[in-house]
Amino acid sequence: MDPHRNGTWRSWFETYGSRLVLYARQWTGCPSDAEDLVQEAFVRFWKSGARALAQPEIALYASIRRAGLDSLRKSRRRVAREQKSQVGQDVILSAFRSGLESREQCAAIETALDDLPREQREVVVLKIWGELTFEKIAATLEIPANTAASRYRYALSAMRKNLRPDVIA
Amino acid sequence: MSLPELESELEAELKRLKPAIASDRLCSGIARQLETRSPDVRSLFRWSAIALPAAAGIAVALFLGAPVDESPALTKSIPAVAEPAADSEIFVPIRAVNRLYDARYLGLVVTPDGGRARKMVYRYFDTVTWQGERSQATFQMTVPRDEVHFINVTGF
Repeated sequence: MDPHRNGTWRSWFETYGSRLVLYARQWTGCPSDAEDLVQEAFVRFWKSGARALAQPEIALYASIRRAGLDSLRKSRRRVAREQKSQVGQDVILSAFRSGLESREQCAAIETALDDLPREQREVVVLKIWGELTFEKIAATLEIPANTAASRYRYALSAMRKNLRPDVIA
Repeated sequence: MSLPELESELEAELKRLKPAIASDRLCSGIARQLETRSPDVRSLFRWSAIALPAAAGIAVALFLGAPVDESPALTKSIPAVAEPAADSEIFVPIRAVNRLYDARYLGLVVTPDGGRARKMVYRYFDTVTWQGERSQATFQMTVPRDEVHFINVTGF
């Protein structure tokens, strides 16, 4: 993150914007809610001056996480009120752009990711797309690094079991 | 193939997926909050020239995407209870996700009554999870689905 330490918020956002939105989607099903959450957390991060810290990305992701947990608490109350049907039918905008030859493959992986417990999914998102080390993930989530690593391994193992062999091959 | 090899292959597949690009709406929202100084008129015009049409496009896409219930969504065509299997296990749908991965404007078309309409195509993968009532076993079924919308152009 050093190249951006003295950069403008736009240069930071160009680098981290899409990753932050993906991370924020762990707490909201709706992409526009995730973007609201990123806006709130990013503005708070930028105004706090935390970008001058030695490892500012930890403060940035932690800021998103705090906003996400707040949002989750509020939405749980709302969902409890709004839950009507036995079968929930959600329309979800894909969290990824086309990076795979097969869209079906992409959808299968995304569904497997969605099916992970949240604490495992957020480690996968921070590791794969946030490109954080286990030490930084641990600092962001306030857990030991070994726990972060084991959650990651459990998550990959669960996803591998849920995906057809041809999706991974 | 060993377990670690399989997992590193999965890791490689995951890394090939790139997160969706953050919208212009988000960028302009942050700009509003962080750029408190009154901006240069020319740069404001330049930024607006990009952001406003994009924001309008997103608004139209969201508006058009809203009436999903009116379209023949997958979950409406599946029966509430599947055919009983030989061992009388009954599977019921417990979750359905319609994942929109692409929305495109395909241009103006002429309708049969001579009017003009905008043609949009929305591409989904619908994933339905079924669960056995007795065994609690689950399986998922994913099918691709395209929705084509024609929006009447009423004039300017």
